Amino acid sequence: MLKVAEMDWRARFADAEAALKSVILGQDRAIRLILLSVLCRGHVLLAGDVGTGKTTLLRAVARVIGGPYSRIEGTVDLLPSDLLYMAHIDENGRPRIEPGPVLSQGPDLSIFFFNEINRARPQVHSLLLRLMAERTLTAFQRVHHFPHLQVFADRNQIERDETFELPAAARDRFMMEIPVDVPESRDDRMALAFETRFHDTDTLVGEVPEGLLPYDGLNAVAAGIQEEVHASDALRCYVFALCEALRDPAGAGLEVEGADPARLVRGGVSPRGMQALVRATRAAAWAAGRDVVLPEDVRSVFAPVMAHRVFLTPAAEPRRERLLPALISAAFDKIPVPAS
Amino acid sequence: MKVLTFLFLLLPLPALAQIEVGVENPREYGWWLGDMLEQRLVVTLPEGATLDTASLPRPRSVTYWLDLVEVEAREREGEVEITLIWQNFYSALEPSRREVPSSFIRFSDGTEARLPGFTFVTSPIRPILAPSTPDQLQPDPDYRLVSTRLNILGFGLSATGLMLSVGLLAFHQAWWPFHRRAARPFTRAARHIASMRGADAGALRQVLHRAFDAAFGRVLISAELGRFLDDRPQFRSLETRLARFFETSNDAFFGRGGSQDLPGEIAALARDLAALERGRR
Repeated sequence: MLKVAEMDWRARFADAEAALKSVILGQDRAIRLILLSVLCRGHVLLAGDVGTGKTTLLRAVARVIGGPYSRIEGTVDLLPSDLLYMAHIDENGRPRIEPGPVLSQGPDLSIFFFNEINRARPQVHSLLLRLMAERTLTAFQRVHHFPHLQVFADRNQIERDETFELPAAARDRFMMEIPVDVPESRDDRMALAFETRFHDTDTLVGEVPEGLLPYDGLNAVAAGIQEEVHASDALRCYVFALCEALRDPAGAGLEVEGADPARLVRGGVSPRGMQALVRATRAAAWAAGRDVVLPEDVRSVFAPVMAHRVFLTPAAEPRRERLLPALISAAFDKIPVPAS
Repeated sequence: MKVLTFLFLLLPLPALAQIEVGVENPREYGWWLGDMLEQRLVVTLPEGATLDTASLPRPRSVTYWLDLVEVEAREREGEVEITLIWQNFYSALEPSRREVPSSFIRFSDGTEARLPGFTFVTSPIRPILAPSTPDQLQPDPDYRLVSTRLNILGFGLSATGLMLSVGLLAFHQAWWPFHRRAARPFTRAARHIASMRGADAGALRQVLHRAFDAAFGRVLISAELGRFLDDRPQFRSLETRLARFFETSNDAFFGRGGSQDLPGEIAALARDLAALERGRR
């Protein structure tokens, strides 16, 4: 069986998931998805309303992973150099340039947390492209490597003023976009409002054991999972057919209520996206205790991995929140599995 | 005081004095059953007033023997000519004097005038005791046969049109015989599998998987088996075998080439599903 399983990583994963569920109520699916992205070493974008616990969730996950952690708040006047350099006046009254948030923790930087990323300008997003894709940066006239880096970002979907839509290239580099909605359960919402334990996020996050999934071992675990979890030919065909259906809904015979499937999708189902999907499905299978990927693993991660990479036609884009889930659901309903 | 009383009595006189009614009555004798009697009256109008046409007598059945058939009023300079046409329905056994009643008309200034009645004598047409014989009747008019060919043709066309419309409506509403027959994917799959002699288990499995998709209304994967059984509880008796089918299918298609069941087992499962689908168990 799996070598990674022998190293007790599955038990650690289960402990981490349980610890996160105990402090973040009603977000079981978001917790599972974010932990899967940790196992794939993929960057994560959280999207949702304000006050639903996105930041708390990311802080708690950062604590589970441990390691150096840095964060920055997205603002409209943030410049790319603000991520790399920090300019200040020292005690002798001289201007000094120190390493900024990305560089300050050194090469062991484990989590870089970009809060409200859609408030930053596109040139800041551009700086992230290389950092996310290659985990390297050039600053102080040398290249810095961050082998353990995982970027977490969140954006609220309520405001439009003074915000900037993430460019396609930046969106594609996020492995998953995970929706964080208000908990469905009435009891969870009541508990979040009335139990004082949830009022102080610092104490709450402090309850999570630190380093359950040690950051410096994750790269090896992720590689092991990808190596050892089997994806059969039938499954490859299924993943390919699903991605093709998303790229060309009319060709796959999908029907989406209120939209012409032939004029729905403009593009965006990239090879990088398919690669991310395969990695996420393997991680999902591993987390479910299997060493083979099943169609249900594909379905469980398909929407968070693929939805934000799909670009709709201008006519359909304003109805994205309704059309894209309908499109994905139509693909699940239509694409046969197992099929030759 | 006496003078005042006298003057008071004279007050309505000028108004009455202004209205004159000239009458031209029909002749007094020689009327039979069914005859129309025309009475012409010329009434002078009060100064500045007009006839209130609503006050004219209404054409009607006045009494059981008398109808007022037509009323016509023509207003001229200072007077109005009224023509009343009466019809006599009195079946007299002997000459009898009948009295047509008078009526009133009103003018726009509120004054009224009386249209006097008249009398006439009506007599029997023939002796009351004379026998009635058929030859007294007028001969029947000539008759000719009406061709019904067009009517029959029209009826035929209408009936065809009706049948066609009902047929189209039935087709549109999917009534019998255009109703869709119950989809029986498992029955079809069982027949298909029975016809696939010598095929390997994988091909048979795919046929059965497509039948599950059709029965579920969308693609069914092993994780949704519970929901399928909730939707189609008639298959719950096969739950264990279905779970095993999906488990083996997962092994066969997505596993590392592990367990494989025999084609016979798949065919038997398809037959059992088909039987449940048709309600035979």
